[in-house]
Amino acid sequence: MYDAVLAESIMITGHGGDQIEAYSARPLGPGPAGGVVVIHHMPGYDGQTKEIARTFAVHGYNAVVPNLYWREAPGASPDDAAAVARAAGGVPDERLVGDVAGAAAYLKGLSNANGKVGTIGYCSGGRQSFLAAVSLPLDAAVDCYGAFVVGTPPEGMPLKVGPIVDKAPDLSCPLLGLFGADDHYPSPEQVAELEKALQEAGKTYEFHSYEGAGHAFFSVNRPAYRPEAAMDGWQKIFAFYGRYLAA
Amino acid sequence: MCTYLTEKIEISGSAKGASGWFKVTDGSVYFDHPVHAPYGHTLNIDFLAPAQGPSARVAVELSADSARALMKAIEAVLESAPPGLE
Amino acid sequence: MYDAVLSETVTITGHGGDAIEAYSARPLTPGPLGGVVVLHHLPGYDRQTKEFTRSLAVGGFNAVMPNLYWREAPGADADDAMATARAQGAIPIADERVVGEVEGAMAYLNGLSNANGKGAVAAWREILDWFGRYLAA
Repeated sequence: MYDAVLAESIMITGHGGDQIEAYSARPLGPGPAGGVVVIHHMPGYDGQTKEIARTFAVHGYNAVVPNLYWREAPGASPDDAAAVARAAGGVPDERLVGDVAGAAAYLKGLSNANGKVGTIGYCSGGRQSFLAAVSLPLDAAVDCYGAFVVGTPPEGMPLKVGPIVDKAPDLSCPLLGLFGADDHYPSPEQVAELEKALQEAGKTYEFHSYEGAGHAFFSVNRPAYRPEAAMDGWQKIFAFYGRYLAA
Repeated sequence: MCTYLTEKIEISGSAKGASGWFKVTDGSVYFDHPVHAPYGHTLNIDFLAPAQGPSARVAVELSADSARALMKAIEAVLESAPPGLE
Repeated sequence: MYDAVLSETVTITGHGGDAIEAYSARPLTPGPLGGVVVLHHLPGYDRQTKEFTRSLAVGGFNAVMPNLYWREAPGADADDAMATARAQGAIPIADERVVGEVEGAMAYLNGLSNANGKGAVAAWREILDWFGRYLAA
């Protein structure tokens, strides 16, 4: 059974025509394969996120993780880069959309691509996945516990981001949301508010909230890890992508 | 820890797996790490038909308490079954 | 920074000269690199252990994981293969066979064109139990 996968660091063209670092993981078969843009969490463009990209490749998807902090700290360790970006107020929304657009173009340009692209983001990446899906023509989007799609960051929070739930009518694709019932950012009330906005806009969506799980429950190297929720969440992700990213 | 002790029995009956019903001829019972159930160790039962290959298998993983409750339920049902039905 | 890694299923020659399935993950650099044989845990030649094998490659080693239940259940799901091996009384796997598979895996690693000829065995704790019992002085 041929299952060769190639994983490596590459450069892609992002927002503003900038060359930025990215991590690519893709099956070496003829496919045709769907593409996944993996949007890293606030802690950064790290080893765990690269492992997630390889997991998508092992499941038959071309995956790419743009380094959203490349411009702030090229070549720095992930946590140092994250600190610099945090101090600068985080990634500007417009720049994020441009980088995801560049990543999607990279995926569509692969010779085994089927032309479909989805996004998935964790934590701040969850909000960014939603943002990409209301700004770009995508085929599927997954939001893992993204905070501030609904609600404004409290005083003192470093992220200079605002709510974007009013853009729900612009959602270009089905949305899968995976949340922890114990999370505060986003809280169950905020998740419900987002769901209501999607219903009112007539959008296709699927939400799951896991009892006993809070923020970052997919993070394998932290106490927040919840194996049951994460294993079920992965199944939901692959079922969802299987429906919307297949040829 | 992984345990290696396995009780093996011959059984006669049928099991319903991912591809439907099939005849089973063997059973394995062991207390070990589960693949799916959210516990460190479970009482695992494999209903097998070796002649049909490794995927001819129905597997269950139960907490130790569930396994004991199951044993009691099995005994209770067999005790109360009218005689002459076997 | 060049960090390309190739991960795929391969066939290696194991104990007794048998062709067995294995999972290989290796950096696509000239190296030279050390090799690591990954011995999967009792539950089987599974997804998690393949992920672990890939992590070793990301860490700069040529890594290969023999499928220790291949003979009992070629092509089966990892947990079904374990159950079959268990039902056949093949668990714990005979030491002679484990050593043979490791030797075959080391030959595969040493045969890679970027190998430095040094090998190590990375084992899950359960396997260490076996070695602890049978290889102690």
